[in-house]
Amino acid sequence: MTSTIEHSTVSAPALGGGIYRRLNFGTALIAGVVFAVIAWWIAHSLLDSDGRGFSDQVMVITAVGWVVGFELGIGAFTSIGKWFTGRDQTHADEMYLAGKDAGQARYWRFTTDHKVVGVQYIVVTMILLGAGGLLAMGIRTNLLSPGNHFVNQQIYNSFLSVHGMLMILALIVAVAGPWANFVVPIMVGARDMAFPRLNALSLWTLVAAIPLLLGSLAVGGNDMGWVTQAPISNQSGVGFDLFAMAIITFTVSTTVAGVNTICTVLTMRTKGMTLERLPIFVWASSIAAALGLYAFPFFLVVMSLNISDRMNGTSFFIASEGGTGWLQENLFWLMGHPEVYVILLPAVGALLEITTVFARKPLFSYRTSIAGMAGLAGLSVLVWAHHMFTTGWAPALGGPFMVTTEMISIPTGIIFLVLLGTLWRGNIWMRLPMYWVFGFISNFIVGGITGIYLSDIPVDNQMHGTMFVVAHFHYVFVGSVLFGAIGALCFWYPKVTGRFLDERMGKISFWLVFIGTNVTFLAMFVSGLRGMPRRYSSYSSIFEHTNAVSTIGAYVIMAGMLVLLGAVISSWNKGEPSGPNPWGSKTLEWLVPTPVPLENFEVLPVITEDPYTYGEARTNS
Amino acid sequence: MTVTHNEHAESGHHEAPEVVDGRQRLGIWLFIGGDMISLGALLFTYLYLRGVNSGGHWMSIVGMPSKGITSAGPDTFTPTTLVEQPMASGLNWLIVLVVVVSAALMWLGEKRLRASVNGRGAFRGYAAAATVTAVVGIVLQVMQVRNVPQYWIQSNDSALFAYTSYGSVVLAFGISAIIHFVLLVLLGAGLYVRAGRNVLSYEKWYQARLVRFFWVWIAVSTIVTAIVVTLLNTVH
Amino acid sequence: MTSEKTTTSRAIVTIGILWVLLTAAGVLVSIYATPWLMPESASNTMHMGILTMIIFSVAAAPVAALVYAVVLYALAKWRYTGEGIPPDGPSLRANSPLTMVWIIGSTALTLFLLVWGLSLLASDNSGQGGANEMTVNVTGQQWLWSFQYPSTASTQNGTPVSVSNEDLYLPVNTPIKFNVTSKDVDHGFWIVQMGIKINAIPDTITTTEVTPNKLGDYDIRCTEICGLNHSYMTTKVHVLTEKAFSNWLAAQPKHF
Repeated sequence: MTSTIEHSTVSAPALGGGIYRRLNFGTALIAGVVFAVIAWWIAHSLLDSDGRGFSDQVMVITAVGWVVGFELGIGAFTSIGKWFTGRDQTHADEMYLAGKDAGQARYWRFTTDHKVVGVQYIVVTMILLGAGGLLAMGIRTNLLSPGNHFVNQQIYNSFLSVHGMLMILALIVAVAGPWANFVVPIMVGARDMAFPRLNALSLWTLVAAIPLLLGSLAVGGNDMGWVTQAPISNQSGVGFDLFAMAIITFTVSTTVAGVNTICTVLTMRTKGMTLERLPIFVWASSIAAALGLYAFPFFLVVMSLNISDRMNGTSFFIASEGGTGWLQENLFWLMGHPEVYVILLPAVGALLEITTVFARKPLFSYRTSIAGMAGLAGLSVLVWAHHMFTTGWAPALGGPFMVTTEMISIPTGIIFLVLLGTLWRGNIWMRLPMYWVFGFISNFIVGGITGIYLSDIPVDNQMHGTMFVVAHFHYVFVGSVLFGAIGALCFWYPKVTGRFLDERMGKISFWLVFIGTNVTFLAMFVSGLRGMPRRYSSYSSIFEHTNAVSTIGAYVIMAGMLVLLGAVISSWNKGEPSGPNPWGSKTLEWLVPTPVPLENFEVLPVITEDPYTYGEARTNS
Repeated sequence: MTVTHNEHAESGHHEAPEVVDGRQRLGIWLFIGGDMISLGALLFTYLYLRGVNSGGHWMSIVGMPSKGITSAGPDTFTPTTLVEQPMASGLNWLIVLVVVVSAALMWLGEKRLRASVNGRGAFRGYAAAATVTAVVGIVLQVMQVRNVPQYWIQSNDSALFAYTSYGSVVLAFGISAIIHFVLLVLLGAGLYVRAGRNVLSYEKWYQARLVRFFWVWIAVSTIVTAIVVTLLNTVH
Repeated sequence: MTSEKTTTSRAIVTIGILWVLLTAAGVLVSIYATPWLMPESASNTMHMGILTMIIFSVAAAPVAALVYAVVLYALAKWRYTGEGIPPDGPSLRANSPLTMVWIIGSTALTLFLLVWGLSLLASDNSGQGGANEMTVNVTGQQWLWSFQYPSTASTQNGTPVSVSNEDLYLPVNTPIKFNVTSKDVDHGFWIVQMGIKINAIPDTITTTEVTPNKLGDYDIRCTEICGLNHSYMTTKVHVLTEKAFSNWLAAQPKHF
């Protein structure tokens, strides 16, 4: 191979080549702050301070300055600049960017290796979950007893908004971020993602969004709920502008990531990896990525219009000037419902993958399960107005949207069939990942069935806007998606670190989180049934007992998550060594060495069968 | 199937340019798809607001014209119902013409680049022309955005400037177009420079096509926007 | 081969028994716990809502019971107790008849729920607008409700006036139409015990209808976040006999 010979002549790593090789997270923070300050100063000097929305304009421009500075400081624009000037990156540059021989430092900079990005996503997800979880504790503590004022109402409302959005972002990336990056390229037999630099860009754009979201708490917060409902969003202080800019930044990140995943799966598969041999997690991730590509532009547009109403004097959502809040709700839920499945599908895919390995059985009804996930994705774009049954918008459309919504239970049923069919007569190995599968099944049936009540308009007229809804979607997001995400973490942890996640601590954490989830949200169902509206900071004494129970349950969840965090940290370097394929799995990521080398495969494998050949005697495997 | 690890063989996996191009083509089409959804969301906004004509305020507002008034205190403020006229469609269609010409130039340039080894010089000419045309598009679009009428409205004893809902969506289309045209200018200038440095050439022409895809999509989106904004603007 | 068959049929029988037991438990809980957990009903709308909750719970019980039965059986009987990676299980890749039955079953169940829900929705809309319907204008503002009775409208010195109050008084067994709006941001107008809810939106009028069928005092709570004191935006509904209501109405002063 001539390329190998060429490469051996430039063996010395060419460090010191340009300032961009000195960029890392630290320079990104510095550049972000510097640019934000400059942007703030320019906005203050040039804009008319008497004009409508002056403080909003200043805040938005400052946020743009932060994001641009951060991306410049991390080096996200370096290769774009090189493209622009026609000085393309050399092979040595690409190897540098991929983090070759960089050790731990590669985790702190713009590194293109998909495995590094995957690990960075694990950390980012944990930070998002941790921050959102702390806010949840604040909310639950405030609700411990009637009239409790642990925080004042303004802060409480801001906690609700930011908790909601942090957790939505956390769960969107919780499975797709770490594992669609770390394992999907290996699963399809590729050396990296289709666009490694875009991969790093999506990660660091997400990182840039987090301080904006948390910063919205620092500059006065906002009290419109995570759904950013207009017109109350126009009453919020400048905290709303940072909140919305965080979302706009996030939509860029997730669109880039989605394009990358789809391109990787469609164009990077190794020889013999036909679509029918793809592991189910690859299908789930791809369908979710495609759905995200549809959903998130609506998010971008609705947030832009919302900011524009505040700072430009436009009237999209202001009824007295020709707009309507129903438009905001339509645009928001056109994004909002597909987004639920963007969140759910990767978790389901990961759990199906775990189930086949630990039941030692082929995936039951491979094609039907793909059809089920595609059906979920397809239907999810047709149901958005079920979030608006009680808003007074288009009552005549209630019936049709009720039909599409209840039809979702058919593909959801298929997911259960596949799970149960795969467990059927298996030799079930009850290691840590499998606990989360069973937890998921138990919780998801509750979350699914309560969703059917809410799809029925006469019931929704009673239940909408109550704690019943909150409990329903927490059974889906915490009980199902978070369980899927933790299951995936326990499952692939040995591949990332070469060590098992501590089984004992992991099981303690499972029982705490499982019991805590059910205690918290079953009690919350009762609060809702008895008539407690959501987003209440204080409530009448008839809801006292159920709220106290929910609060205690929430503390138990937090304790469980802290145990899990402890296990993740302590096992990272000290866990029991696992070897490359501790679970006896047949998907490709387990057949490469641990730690996975840069570019994954020395020789790309040729695939002759799907990875679900459990119980099938094969001569050549 | 076994996979062994070899430290020294991990670099140098080069792929054929056609393979890379195929992947990038899919990527650019997916990005264009996402952009189409964004445009769709704006069109939905436009048609929704026009359709419901909330409070009869699609093209009317209770306030004062902002032209000629620098600041309106509560004393001088006498709001009346003002009816707005649709924006002059001439400027809108001029922008369409400019962007279509720009896309056509880019396409012709790409053809010349792919046609012969000597096409690089011609390509640079076309790319420069397309880029300059896109700059003209930005100028015209900024003019249009500045023409969207603003009004003073009264709110809690103070005067605020505001747009009608029609004006709001036209403004949103305009700002979106400006952002896209700026992208075109950057891409066009980049191709111009790259062709000059011979990284874009007869053998390596693929990126010209990727940029052209985006350019043509922007032209199409401008046409769609112009059709909607100029033909479907009044409420019947 | 035969032993495999007998284990399978034993599994099916055990799961079947478990399924029946769990379903029965689920049905009992649905029938008895649901009305106990929900507020008392003060309208037919609420009554039908509670009935729907019960029927949906009963319909869902066998589904949930089946899932739990298989999971519990799997945990008890198919759990591998040996050391290390278990041997492979049987290669069951698909079972088309079972898949068909499952899909047809879930579709049928969904259709039943749909037919129930849609017919309820249709009957909900048709029974309204009778000759004796009374209109109440509801206005939400941060953070209180006010109610106006336009049927009492007259003019005093050229100014239109009518009765308005911050508690809602309603006559029993009279269809009420609420015209709901807001002065500032969105609010959610919810009469907890009557099962109706509609958003109050500025510069917009939304409507909802209900016929209270029980005397007593009930709750109104706001269900859309509306700022600082959202949790305190509550008030009372007093359902009176028709005579008591007209006496009350007559005794009220009129405001603009």
